[in-house]
Amino acid sequence: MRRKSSFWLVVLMAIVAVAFLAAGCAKKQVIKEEAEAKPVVEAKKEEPKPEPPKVVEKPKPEPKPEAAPPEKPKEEVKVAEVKPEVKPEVEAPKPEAAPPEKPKEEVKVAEVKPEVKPEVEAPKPEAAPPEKPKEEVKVAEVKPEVKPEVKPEVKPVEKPEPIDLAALRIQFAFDDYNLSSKAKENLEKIASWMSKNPAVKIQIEGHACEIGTNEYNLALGERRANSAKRYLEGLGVSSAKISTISYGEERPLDPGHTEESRSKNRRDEFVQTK
Amino acid sequence: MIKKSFSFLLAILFLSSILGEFLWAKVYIDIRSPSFRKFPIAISPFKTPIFSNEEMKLGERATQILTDDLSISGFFALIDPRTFVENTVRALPRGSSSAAGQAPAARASESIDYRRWANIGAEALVLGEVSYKDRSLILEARLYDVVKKELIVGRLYKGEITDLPRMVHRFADEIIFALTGEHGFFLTKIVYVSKATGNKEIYLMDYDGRNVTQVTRHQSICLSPRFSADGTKIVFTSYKAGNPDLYLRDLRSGEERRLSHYPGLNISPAWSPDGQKIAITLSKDGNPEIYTIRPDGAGLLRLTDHPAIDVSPAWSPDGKKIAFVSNRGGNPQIYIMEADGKNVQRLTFEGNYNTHPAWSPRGDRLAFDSLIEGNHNICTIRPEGSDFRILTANLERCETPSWSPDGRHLAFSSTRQGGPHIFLMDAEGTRIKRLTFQKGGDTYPSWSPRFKE
Repeated sequence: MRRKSSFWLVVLMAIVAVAFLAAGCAKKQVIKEEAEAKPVVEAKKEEPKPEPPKVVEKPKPEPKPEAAPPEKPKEEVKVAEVKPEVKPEVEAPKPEAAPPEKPKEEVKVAEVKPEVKPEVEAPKPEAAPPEKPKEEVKVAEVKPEVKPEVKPEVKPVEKPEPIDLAALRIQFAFDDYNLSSKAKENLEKIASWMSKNPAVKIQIEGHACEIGTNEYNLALGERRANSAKRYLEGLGVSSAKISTISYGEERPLDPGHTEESRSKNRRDEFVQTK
Repeated sequence: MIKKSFSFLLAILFLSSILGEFLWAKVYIDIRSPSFRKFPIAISPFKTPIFSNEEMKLGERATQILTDDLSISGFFALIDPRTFVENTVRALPRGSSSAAGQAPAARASESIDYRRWANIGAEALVLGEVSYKDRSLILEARLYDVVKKELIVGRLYKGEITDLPRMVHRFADEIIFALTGEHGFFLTKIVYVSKATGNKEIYLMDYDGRNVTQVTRHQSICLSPRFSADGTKIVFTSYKAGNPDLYLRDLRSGEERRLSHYPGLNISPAWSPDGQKIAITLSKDGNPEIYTIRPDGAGLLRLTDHPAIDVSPAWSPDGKKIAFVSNRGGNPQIYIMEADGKNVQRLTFEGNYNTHPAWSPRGDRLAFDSLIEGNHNICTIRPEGSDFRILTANLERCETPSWSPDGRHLAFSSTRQGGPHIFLMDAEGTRIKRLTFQKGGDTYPSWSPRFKE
């Protein structure tokens, strides 16, 4: 009798012990699975393609990447500072070396125009050095050297024809990035203007209406900008002269909420850049 | 024979002592029951022992915050405080002060007239007291079981005057845990985009709309903020450098750095539940595709490979799957793939424009934005694709849903009162509450996880 009762007790304790063990094993299994999953993911890291060499920016911490992009704003700043210095230098010798930065000035109109006009019209526009694009950045440094070089070179000034890029914006259908025939017409005008003025560069801004998420619309805007860019490249414009950016639904032309307003926002805008 | 049955009894007792925790605890609110009724609870206005003007305001504020918390939870029927008999005597007898967090003894139970509370229908009662001495704020609160006439949980908090909301939220979490067995979310926060300054910047607020603070000052366009898995950092897109780039910001230290700035788009980030990876959309390879990247900026891994637009990734709570938006079928729909990019399946088939997937922390549903007859609505669906439900059919444009950590509520933006503004609702689409009141429009809420403290 005693043997039997103690026997049953032992059996029950064993069951409980097994139950605890099983629970412990289950946990270990879960941890094992997670550990196995990790090395698989890391092995795949080798796959992603190397970035094209022209892309300077790599995903490294602060110092390097921040050096690359701020070049653009810096250039603009440099020009602004340089302009006041340019004037006295130009007036002393012949204004032949007049600031030739005409294409630039279309953008910095507010500051430059009143100062530049008298200088340019007085002398002959012939002697303006053709090195317009280069001096955009290196004006401060180049100017003193350029002047003596410029005088002998007498070339006709290539004033870029004014073009109203804003009026040439192109529209798209809802959730679409195909070019309409009107869009193609506008792009052809832009391409022809750019070929006559090889120094100009533009940025294509892709936009979308408010329908849909900001994220999807950023992608759609980019599609629209790339559509126009590819068409321009097909017309012979060098891709180095075209940059693109998408603003999605963030910069509507018409803030209204009717379909009429929204349809105006499905567009590409063209902006001249340096 | 007797001995045999006796030893059996011993064994059973032994087993049940192990399981006793689960079998014998009283279940106040069975939230899993489909027909659970709202639990009647009374919150007696927090007392202020010294009755100075400042203290009385603190007491009112504490009462209001607690009332809002329990009301938003949806579990309770709050007894109208006007039915209370005004009791100017202190409900909490003075006891020895203790360090924050220690539960005071249940000595107060005897002095409470439970019958009075039971008469107005309360099954639980909250009594609290706020005092402010020597620039130190002390909040003491207790939850009583009116039926069993005993204390369920009591807490004492000490801190500064600005800690008042946090103390009340913490006690609200204690109430929820004691009565439902689940953790509350009253200490969580929501990060969102607001155009209050004229530019889109990132803002942070408590989940209930209080304590709004501006996080970024980029003076450009900031978009798509998302919390990290531990709630201490956010990742977002900004045009600060002239291109949509991804930035990482530590909310505690304010340290901010650029995470990803490939040419083209760096958008729609989503932090994995284990905190190891961030899913993003890049268009650097010619087309918007989904990638994952490590929070240190390295380890870029491409997941999608399709000429269509692939954007807006959202992780499942177990980290094994990613839902995303793709127009590979002709228009934007929601798809689900494994976390390594394999096995892409389409989820949504209703409507022509489904975006912004958000996976419930419970794993059982996804919320998303669906364009129905020209109007944006928030809908939910099961991960298998069944049980498609429209939640917001009567409101104005409702977009960008984000789940609460317990999966029972959604924050979203809506234009129903101008704006748009951020609203809260439960997972059935009812009990809607407005959270933001700034000018300029508030969108893209992202709900933090529960913070580990």
